Amino acid sequence: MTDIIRAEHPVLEDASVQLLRAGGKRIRPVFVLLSGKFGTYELPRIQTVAVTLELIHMASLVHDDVIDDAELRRGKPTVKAKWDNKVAMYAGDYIFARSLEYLSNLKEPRAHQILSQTIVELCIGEVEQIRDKYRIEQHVKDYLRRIRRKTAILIAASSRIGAIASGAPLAYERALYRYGYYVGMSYQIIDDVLDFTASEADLGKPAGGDLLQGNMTLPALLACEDDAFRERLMKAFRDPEQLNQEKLQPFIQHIKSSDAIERSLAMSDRYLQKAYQELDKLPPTRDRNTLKQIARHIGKRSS
Amino acid sequence: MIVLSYASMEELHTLRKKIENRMQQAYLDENLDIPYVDDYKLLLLQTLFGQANLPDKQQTDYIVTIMLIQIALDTHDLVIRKTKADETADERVDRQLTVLAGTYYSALYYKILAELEDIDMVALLATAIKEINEQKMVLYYDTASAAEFFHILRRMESTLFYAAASPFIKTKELEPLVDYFIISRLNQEAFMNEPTPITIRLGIILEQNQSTLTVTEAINQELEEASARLTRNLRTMPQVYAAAARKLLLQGKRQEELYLEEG
Repeated sequence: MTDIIRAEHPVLEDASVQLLRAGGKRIRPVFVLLSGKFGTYELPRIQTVAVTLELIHMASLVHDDVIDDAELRRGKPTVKAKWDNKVAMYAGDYIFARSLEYLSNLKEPRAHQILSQTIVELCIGEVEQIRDKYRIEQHVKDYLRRIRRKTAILIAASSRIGAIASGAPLAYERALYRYGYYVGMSYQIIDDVLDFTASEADLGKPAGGDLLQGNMTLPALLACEDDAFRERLMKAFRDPEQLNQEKLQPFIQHIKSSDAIERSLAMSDRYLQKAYQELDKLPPTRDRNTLKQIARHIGKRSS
Repeated sequence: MIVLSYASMEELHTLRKKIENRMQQAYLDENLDIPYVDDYKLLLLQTLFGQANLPDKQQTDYIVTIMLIQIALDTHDLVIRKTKADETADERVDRQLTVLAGTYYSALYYKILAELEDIDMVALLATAIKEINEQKMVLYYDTASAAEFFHILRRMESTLFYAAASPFIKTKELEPLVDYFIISRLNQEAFMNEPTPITIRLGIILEQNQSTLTVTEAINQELEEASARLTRNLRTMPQVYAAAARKLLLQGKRQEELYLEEG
């Protein structure tokens, strides 16, 4: 991947590989590679898709850090913190363009149609996330629609495009898409739970960041079923500029001690069960087993 | 205001509407200014694809796509270098949506071409976007003089068009047109009431060089020089492009004046 995003301008090159060096879970390429096993597995083709999907994800993270004004990601300074917002914008755009250029080696229009539609929806999901910030009066359905666009569909697309690139049968392609979708939903719910429960060291950034940004994630929404808590949070959200980590501590503590975390994890688990059901539609191979183990790991992860 | 016949005006208006319709997103529209659509770039793209013997839909899709890329690139330029420590809630939303709007427009370009199943054009334009971001880094971080700044700007403004044109015409034939893009861009800059990324950066360079010129004077000087070069080159470019270039040059000029300059 480092070779693919090599740039002529030294700062652009450093900025582009900054996030790559910080590591990551690389779940999207893993899903591409494994999904590719359900058709005719040609490594160069599948690899092209796997690398592209990770690069697109990376480009979006570089821009997300400008949106969130984030100083740290995965425990390392963000591109915008190390250089500035403009460098982050250009590096993100550069990586995105490079990934499309690279994926154009795959002459499968359907793969491009799915991916481009996914990226459009991903953007809309992020716009809606900003629209819904500090909005307490929203339904769990709003949250699910948001994370569908924000996370699940890119993971689903990774699995599906991996299947398309290997020419897997349509039934497998559909099952893999739905598997990726359900795993993605579960993954994001757990991410949102961990934002409350994990330590700063594990997260690589301060805990409770979502609430501080006004993002109403599932644990916060479920905790808001308690009228007194909802009233207090609504009052705090009225003046977002006055909010800080310290002022939010009582809210974070309340969410942690309520049943909101447990109920969120239960919902995540329901998505995982659905993901397992999709895997039953695939042939019983070692790769299917690996996909099952990944889903199980996601359900248990603590960082 | 662009100097065109009624029919051409209508066509440009229709194209502009199509671009605006494609970009529509309720929350972005509610919160951000309408992006600037450069009529002269639109005119040139219309000329290019009109000559290419393409079906009408493909022509329109190509034009819309390229303009979306231009708007996406320009939108991301609007993101401020450092987030203000005392940023207000409105300023924060503006910054965040500006990032997303640029990415959204860029994603639309990919979607349109994917629907056309035109993967080669995806690649061609992606290469151009990559190059433009390299050029932006040089423009905003490395340029040391106004001359260098305008030189990079000229290249940057023409990269996308030349990439799009390359499958249809020998790019060499269009080389005399290179100043068209910087003129169009600088006209746009002169039209803005507020400082833009271009004028801010140029201002810094002029100050560093202890220049006696103001930003407006430097832009006007470059506009004059670029217009003179483009006028000299009119006879060396294909007729249809020369016609488009004349329309650009005619802005604020009497026709006979231009004919005199062309000799």
